[in-house]
Amino acid sequence: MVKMNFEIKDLSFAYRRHPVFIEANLTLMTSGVYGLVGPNGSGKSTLFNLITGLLHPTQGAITLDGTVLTPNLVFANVAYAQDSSVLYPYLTGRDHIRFVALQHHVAAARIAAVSEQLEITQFVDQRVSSLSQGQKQRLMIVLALLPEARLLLMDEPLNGLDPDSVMIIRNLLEDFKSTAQMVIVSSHNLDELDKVTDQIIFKVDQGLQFETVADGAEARYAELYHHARPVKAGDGHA
Amino acid sequence: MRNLAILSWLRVKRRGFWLLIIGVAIVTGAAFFGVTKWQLAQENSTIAARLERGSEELGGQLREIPPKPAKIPKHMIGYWHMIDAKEQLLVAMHRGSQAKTAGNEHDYTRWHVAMLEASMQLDKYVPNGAAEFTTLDIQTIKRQLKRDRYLLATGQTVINSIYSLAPRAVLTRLFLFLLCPPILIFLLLGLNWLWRDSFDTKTHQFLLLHVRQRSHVMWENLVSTIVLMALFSLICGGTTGILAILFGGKESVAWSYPLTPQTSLGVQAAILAVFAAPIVWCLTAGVQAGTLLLHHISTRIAVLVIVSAGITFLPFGISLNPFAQLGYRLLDWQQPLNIWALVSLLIVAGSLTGVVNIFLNRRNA
Repeated sequence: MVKMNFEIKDLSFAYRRHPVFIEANLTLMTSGVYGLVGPNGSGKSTLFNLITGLLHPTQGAITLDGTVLTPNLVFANVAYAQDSSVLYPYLTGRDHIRFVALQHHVAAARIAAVSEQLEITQFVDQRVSSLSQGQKQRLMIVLALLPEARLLLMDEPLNGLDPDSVMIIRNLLEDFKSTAQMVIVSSHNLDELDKVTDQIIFKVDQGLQFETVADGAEARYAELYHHARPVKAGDGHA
Repeated sequence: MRNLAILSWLRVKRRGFWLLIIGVAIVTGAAFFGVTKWQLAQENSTIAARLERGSEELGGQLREIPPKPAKIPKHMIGYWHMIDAKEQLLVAMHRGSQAKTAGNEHDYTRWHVAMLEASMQLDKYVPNGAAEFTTLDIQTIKRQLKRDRYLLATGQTVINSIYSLAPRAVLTRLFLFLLCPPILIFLLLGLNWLWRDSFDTKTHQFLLLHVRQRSHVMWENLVSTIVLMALFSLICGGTTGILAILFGGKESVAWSYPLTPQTSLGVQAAILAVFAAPIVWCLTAGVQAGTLLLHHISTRIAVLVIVSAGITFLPFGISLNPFAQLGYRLLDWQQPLNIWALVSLLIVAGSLTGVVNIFLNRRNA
């Protein structure tokens, strides 16, 4: 584990009149894998978009090692494996990889290694429109891994994947436990999440709540979202 | 920027967009030539018919004239000079009509000069006497005679119309057409497909996440659009030019061909060359801003076309309005040039780019 300081401070954001975050706080101090959990539409992807600057908060700041994340800092330090709809359907996987690699000065050896690891070499020359959901997802992850960013955000990486793809991504997440990267993974697949981390960020009401869940994420999820909520949305610290 | 440009090229290539540009450019260039040829043929037949009608009226009058006496009485000398002038006018009009029908512009120019000289002669004896047959008043006759003599001296031919099939003239007119802002905005809406493709879908998020500064995306798009516009213009102009060389008229036109007392064909071409890049920059920035601000493409197109046409044809401040400088020129070549309008064009283009940059940085993607 490597010391890092990722901090969300007094973050507020709303879609028109619908508030998603109201003065939410979160502090993560070490590298490793963190889960991000919350019901559908609660704002998990919104949080990732706010961290990467694709959305602008109405209030508050997001910092990495004490510096507010600007587009330049995001480019240098943050990678985001988002929904595969951001890929150009008529370009090939290799076209996307070439662009990202050139932008981030990634060596050919690393491209080859990551492509091997995610097993995308067989379909990398096909157009994105002809790929399956799992193949697109793996391609998105390759694109996010290439720059070796300090903070890696993965939005529902296990969604709609075949068992092979799930295994590949699970192994990848296991590997992240021992790297110097901080990885935040949002997922509805709590079983899979439990296999790779016990450090979970819950999106509760309009806040973030960080917890180490010894009994598994599912039990805590049930307490937080299916029953009366004893814990008020507040600050989370790790 | 270089990597973004490579990505843009890949996108253009993978979608076959380059083939579409080439195809549309060829069709546009050929259509422009065809329409100009048709317009010129219409105009030529109108001129020939007018001359024929005038010469018939004149012939009718001259038939009733008694034979010229061997010795002309002193008081009848002026009358017979007038009849001589009318005969010369009749011959010139008839021959001019024949030359026009045959499409022989050099011959037509010579007979047109002869017609104008005979008209001048006739006016000495009967004020505005030529107007009855030529529909030209004395001031117009003097002006046209001066121009025609200049053209004869330089070996050029008269083009009474703004339509000409001489390659230089038809190309200048093509670019006048393409750079007219309401036309250009349509072209740029098509050519700026890369920007719309990204920002009308979620794919712009991929771009924005992988650039150090968002403004790079904007500048690269601006450069790509200018390059695509240059490619389109080159192919469109090439098509029209080749057709003009192969099937063009027999007119011979030099850059010094006087369109008006203030403007020659060369000056017109120079104006277009100077205005081309800034107007494309300005309108591309408009298209970029429109894409970011207006969600529905039909609304976007309507707003952009209405705004550009409105600014182009505003009836006041024409000399300082760069859009009007280009727009009115398409309709009326006599519009005087104001190169200072270029300064306001650059200011508008720069400001619009600044606005796009702000939208891009403040936008919730």
